[in-house]
Amino acid sequence: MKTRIVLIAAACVWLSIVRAPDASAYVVANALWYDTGADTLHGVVYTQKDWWDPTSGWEFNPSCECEYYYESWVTTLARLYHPSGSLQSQGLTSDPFVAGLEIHLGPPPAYGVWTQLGDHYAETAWWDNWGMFLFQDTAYLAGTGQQANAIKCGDERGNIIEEYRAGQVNLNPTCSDFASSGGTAHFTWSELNGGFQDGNPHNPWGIVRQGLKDGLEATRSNYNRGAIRLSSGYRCPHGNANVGGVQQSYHMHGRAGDMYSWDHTWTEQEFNLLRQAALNTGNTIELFNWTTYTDRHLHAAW
Amino acid sequence: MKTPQQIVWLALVPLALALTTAGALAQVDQRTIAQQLLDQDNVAARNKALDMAQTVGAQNASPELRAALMTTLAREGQRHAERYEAGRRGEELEPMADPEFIARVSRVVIELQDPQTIPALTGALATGIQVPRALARFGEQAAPAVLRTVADPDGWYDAVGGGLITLRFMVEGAATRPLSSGVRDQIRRVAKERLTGKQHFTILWRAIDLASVLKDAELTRIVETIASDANEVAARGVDDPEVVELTQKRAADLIAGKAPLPRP
Repeated sequence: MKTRIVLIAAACVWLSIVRAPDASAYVVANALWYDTGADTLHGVVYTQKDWWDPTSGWEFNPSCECEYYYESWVTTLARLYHPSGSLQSQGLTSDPFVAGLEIHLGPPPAYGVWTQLGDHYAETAWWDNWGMFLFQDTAYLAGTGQQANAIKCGDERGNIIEEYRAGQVNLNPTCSDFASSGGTAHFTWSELNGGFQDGNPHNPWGIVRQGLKDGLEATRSNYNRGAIRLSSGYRCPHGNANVGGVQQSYHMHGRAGDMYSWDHTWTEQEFNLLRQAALNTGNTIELFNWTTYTDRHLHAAW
Repeated sequence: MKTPQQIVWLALVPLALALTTAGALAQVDQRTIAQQLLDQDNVAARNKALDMAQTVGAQNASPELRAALMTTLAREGQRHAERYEAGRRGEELEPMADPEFIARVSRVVIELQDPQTIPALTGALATGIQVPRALARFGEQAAPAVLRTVADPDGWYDAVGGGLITLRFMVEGAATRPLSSGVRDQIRRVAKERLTGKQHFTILWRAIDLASVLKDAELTRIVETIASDANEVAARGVDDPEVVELTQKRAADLIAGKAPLPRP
């Protein structure tokens, strides 16, 4: 009796190990990442089939006249869920060894910003090639906390946009607000876009409004006493903080410029000649005075 | 057993309570914004409060918030004027915490379009062109305050200049916002004061601009004298030959019919 019980148990163990297409398929890789080039959020699930396959073996292939190893395939269905719980994307694939699925969530809804925060997860299920259900699992991918405000411009502009959000600047620039070139007749792009003490780490990207360009050119024309030295134009929020700019400076809006004269000694009189020229443009929204800043620059915004 | 009318009334009571509470909350929020605006020590909170005030909008701003905005602008104007005075005394100037805040708060106050803002706006005349435009839109109502600023013999030249531009805008806009002969005469008198005696060159320039639109024979003669005689310019305290020349050119251009800048 005892012997019979031991034999049956051994048979069961053997069957469970070598016969059953057991639940040993497992997720070998999963990830969620943002592809800046494609402007899409991606989820990926790779599953490894890991069970003994009674139909595997070597077989002669007449087309190549060679032996090849064959094994039954596993079919994987993966579903990627949005943090809201709704199904975001799904895919079906089969493979003899590793069934890999890349699931693309597509571009985010507005301004390249994921507004839905939370966890993304993938639900996967596998069948063998006879259609027998094998296993089901839920794989955590990643949270979209970081992606929530991530950059969707596909380049450095996104990092600058993130600075605006993090710095609580009262401006929410979009990708199209930025440019990487576009000087005027008398002001180069590098003067307009940066030019301040610590430079613009995002060069050549910056925001320079047409109003600033027109205002500076008109000021130069009204001034009519030679060139204007632009000591600061556009500043990203970090750049603005580095030079001690005010929290909501119009430099970050691409509207402000700090000026001196190139050709004349910078005195209170020269400052006022340039100030009158800027005032005469008629549409300054900021224009300060000789005593406003300790370095005596003329700050104007349009 | 309740009648249908009773049921309707019973349903309306919680709704009315909810609406009253929401209204009270909105008032409380505006009170908080007002308090934060007046807190001069917390620059970040003040900036945020100003953004919130802008979001509330001129139409919905409570009397308390409107008053806080006006007080804030008046304080900022005072702060800049004191700084000018300190500079004039030769004192070493420390960096301002937020020198550009005055322009931001000016914009919000201008949006109120309230004559009660005239004193606060007059205190910000030195900071660009927005304030002169806004004050000119009030027409004659704003004239006394602006005239006082322009007539102040110890006034900050940028404030006096801003006042002269405002008065010119008022004169040029008189077709739509008529000026009484009394106010027009006061404007003429103050223009004459600023065209004679020693003046900062920017004041002299803005007075020439004003004279050119007043079309007054006496003022025109003064401007002609300035245009034709460099000594007349020097007599008004302008000693740099280049600035004398620029002043004369400006006077000549305006006599020739060129419109003064900036345009209203």
